[in-house]
Amino acid sequence: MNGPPTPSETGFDTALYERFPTKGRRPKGELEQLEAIWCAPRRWQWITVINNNYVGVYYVGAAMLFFVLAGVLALLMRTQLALPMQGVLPQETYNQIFTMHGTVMMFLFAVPAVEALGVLLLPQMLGARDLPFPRLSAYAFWAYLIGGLAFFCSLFFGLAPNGGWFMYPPLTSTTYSPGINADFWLLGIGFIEISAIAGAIEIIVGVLKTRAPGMTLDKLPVFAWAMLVFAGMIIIAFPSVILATTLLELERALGWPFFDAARGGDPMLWQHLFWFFGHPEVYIIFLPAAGAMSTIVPAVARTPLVGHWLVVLAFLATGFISFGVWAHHMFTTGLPGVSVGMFSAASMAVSLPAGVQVFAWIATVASGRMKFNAPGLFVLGSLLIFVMGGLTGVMAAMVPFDWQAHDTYFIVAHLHYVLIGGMVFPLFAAIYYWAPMVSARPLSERLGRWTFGLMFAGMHLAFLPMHLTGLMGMPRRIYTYAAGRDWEWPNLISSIGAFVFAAGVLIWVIDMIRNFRPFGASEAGNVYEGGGLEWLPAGLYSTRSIPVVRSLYPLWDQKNLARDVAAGRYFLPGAPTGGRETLVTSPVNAEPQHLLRMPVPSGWHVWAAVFTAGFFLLLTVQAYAASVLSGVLAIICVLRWCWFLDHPLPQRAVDVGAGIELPTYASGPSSTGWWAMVVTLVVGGMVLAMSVFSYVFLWSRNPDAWRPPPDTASLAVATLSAAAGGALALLARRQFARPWLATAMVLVGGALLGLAFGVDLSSWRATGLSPQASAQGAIVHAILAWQGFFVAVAAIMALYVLLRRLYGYVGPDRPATIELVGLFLAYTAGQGLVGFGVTRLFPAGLT
Amino acid sequence: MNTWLSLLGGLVLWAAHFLAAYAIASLADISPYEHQAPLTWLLAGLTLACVLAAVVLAVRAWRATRRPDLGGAFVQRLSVLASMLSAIAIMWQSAPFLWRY
Repeated sequence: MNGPPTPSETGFDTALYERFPTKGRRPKGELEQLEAIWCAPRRWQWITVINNNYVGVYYVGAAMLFFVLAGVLALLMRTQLALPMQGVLPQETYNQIFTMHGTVMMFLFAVPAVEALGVLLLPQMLGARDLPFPRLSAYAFWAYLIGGLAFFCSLFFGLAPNGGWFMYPPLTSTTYSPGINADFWLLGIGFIEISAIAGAIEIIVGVLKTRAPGMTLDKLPVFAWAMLVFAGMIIIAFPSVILATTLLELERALGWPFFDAARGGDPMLWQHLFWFFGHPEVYIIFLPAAGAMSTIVPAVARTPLVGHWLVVLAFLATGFISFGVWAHHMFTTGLPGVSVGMFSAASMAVSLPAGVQVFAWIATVASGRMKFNAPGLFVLGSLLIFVMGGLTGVMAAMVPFDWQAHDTYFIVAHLHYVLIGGMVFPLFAAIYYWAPMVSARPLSERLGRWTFGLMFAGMHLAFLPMHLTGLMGMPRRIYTYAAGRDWEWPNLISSIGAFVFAAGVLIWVIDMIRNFRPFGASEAGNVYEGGGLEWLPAGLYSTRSIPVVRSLYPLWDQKNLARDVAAGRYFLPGAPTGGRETLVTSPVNAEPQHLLRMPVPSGWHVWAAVFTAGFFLLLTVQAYAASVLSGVLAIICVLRWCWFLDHPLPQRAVDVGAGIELPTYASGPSSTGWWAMVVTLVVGGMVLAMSVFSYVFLWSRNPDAWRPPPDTASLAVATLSAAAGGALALLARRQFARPWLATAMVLVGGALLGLAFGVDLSSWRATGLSPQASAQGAIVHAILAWQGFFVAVAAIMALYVLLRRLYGYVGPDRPATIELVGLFLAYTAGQGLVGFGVTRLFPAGLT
Repeated sequence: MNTWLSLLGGLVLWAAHFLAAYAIASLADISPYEHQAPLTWLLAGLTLACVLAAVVLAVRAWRATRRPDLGGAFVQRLSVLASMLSAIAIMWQSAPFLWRY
């Protein structure tokens, strides 16, 4: 992979890397200062802690708790289905349990678990002291934990959702699902997705901006590549389900008929929106696991990953092609034949990148000296199970076969093979492999083998017979069955298998209780002799100094690296600003750009999470006043949390090692805040794009019922106001040298956006188009509501800027706040223009 | 930005083509029979354009492997293969539509 030398990305002279490792002893007290700054939490600080060493472990632990809870639900189901006509669970309870099993596994275990793995591992792998927004990670964790537990507890009150994990309307409409069971799903899951998106933003910015110097893209750990693609997929896919859940909740709560065919809606819209998220979700879960596999396989086989660059390409290709697969869950819904053909083709194509990864792992195992330790066994088990699940996936991609197998136990078998092989086994491999990184003791090899053996045997016992029960016609989700259809034996074997699998998990729990000892003074260390930076000697500050990376496997290839890093002979051996800090580097070549001052723990992010959860949960139980109060408190907490940001340090530049000076403040594309804002706006843009899709889709169902839009004069006023507001906000970013002018421009820009929104809303209201009367009314008002939400946030931001100006926190030395608020306002203007254009000019503009 | 465009350009072309093909297929489904042929030609033209664009991206990336460039040979080689695979994938996903009409 050698080629001509690469030019500098930022103007940084990479020849300076030759100064490292430095010579001589470090000053006395430097290490002690670092330890004091990154000290362990005491008493209540265990809750407010933000260091990834803690939050990452909490996060993985919470995800595994939900895995066990959802597994218990699976055991209840298998007990019910073990024999025909059993009465262990009544039908309604069974419905709630299978819905919660799928929902908890997908939303509260799978996605959070891999995100948690990223939060825990990435800083160490990348050579950063922490991810760039540690409070955001902690907020995401607490929001997820509180929301997830409350959601799970709905089971104990008979209020759990019961419409299946993909909640198809009209079954989940108020007609067929009265009560608040479905609302728990819609609001609870919508809320938890916000947490997932927050984590994804953290991961994208972390991987792109906080890598160790010299860690160019070819030296970026394969796990980090996987996490980057994973987080990008979350940003693109999750807005779709956020929109879907919002629309269905609006239909249930306010009677807006998006999915009600009698009033021009179409339940198929839900399926499109859900599966545009739902199918990529499978790969969202799989990719980090594949990244972990691609890291563990070389370590246990003791050889570099074969075809590393092809694996990276496979990640990227999966990230794209998996979005072309959403309708393969809808082959039996009567889609047009040509569309079905296209989606079938894409479904087959997406198996190729997965195949590349599998062959790369097999080739690595074959070319190395494989050690059959616990992680190694889980890796091999994963390979076998995932390939089996992948093959039945290609079968299901064939439309005629899918027509037969759809909604049968064959699909249940297929999806469990894919998810257990593609995610659960790699996750257990990862837990066994990386436990010594955070625990004073590694997990037990002996218990690990038992865990693997029971889980592997139980997995096949449980799910292999389901292929047969499915082909024999047993449908999914039935709570019992009559004898005499030859389903008895396969079901009994499946139930035995489920308990064998559970026994494996139980042994793992025992192993964790006996051996997992995190947060200690020292860790077990590099037991499996991995080659990544995460195995460098580390404390709560991550590594003592941040190395210059010259290899994909630095610990294998860079002599004395661990010794020199621990001796402080690389970047940032101390704390030059006297606080928590990390290096920010460029996205392609990882050249040092500036020093990022990191936050210290405080309670604001925890309170923000509590009140955000309170807002959604109280909304679910229809305590509207309390919900609004909780929402307001959440906003106050977030603003207070942000108040500490954007404060330049007295030291404008500091020595980060070997005489290299870096600035301590940055704005624009070199700053982490700018990247986070851009990624956040992509989320908003995706919701808008899916709203536009929904608009056109609903129109195509019933074009004759579409009413003409309001007059063009109001359109002109709204367009001009929004354009002027956006332009002012953009121009304000250039006026940071004149803070009052910049503040005024932001305020006027925000006001113009409000005016544009008000004009648009009132002109639609004047037409008499009611959101309850028709699908057009519903979707137009949904787009209006989305814009209204952004305008409200823009207003809060503009007032926040004013407040900061009054306190003297907006000035020429700190342009970041104005810049980011300006970006948000400009986006809001653009979103408004798209909304006006679509709802006013389509289809009216076509005629 | 050039590095990311080079790396992801082919795949972005694939995604754009997929969305366009989905839109055209949906339009064909609700259009009268006499509109089917023009829509087929539209998709055929779009497919050809996207394939050519992907090939151009691949050739550019291939040439860049011989000179110093941001991201280095790793990114350029990834770009070449990603663009070529995208060209094949674009043709593959058009096949059901072009075959049917």
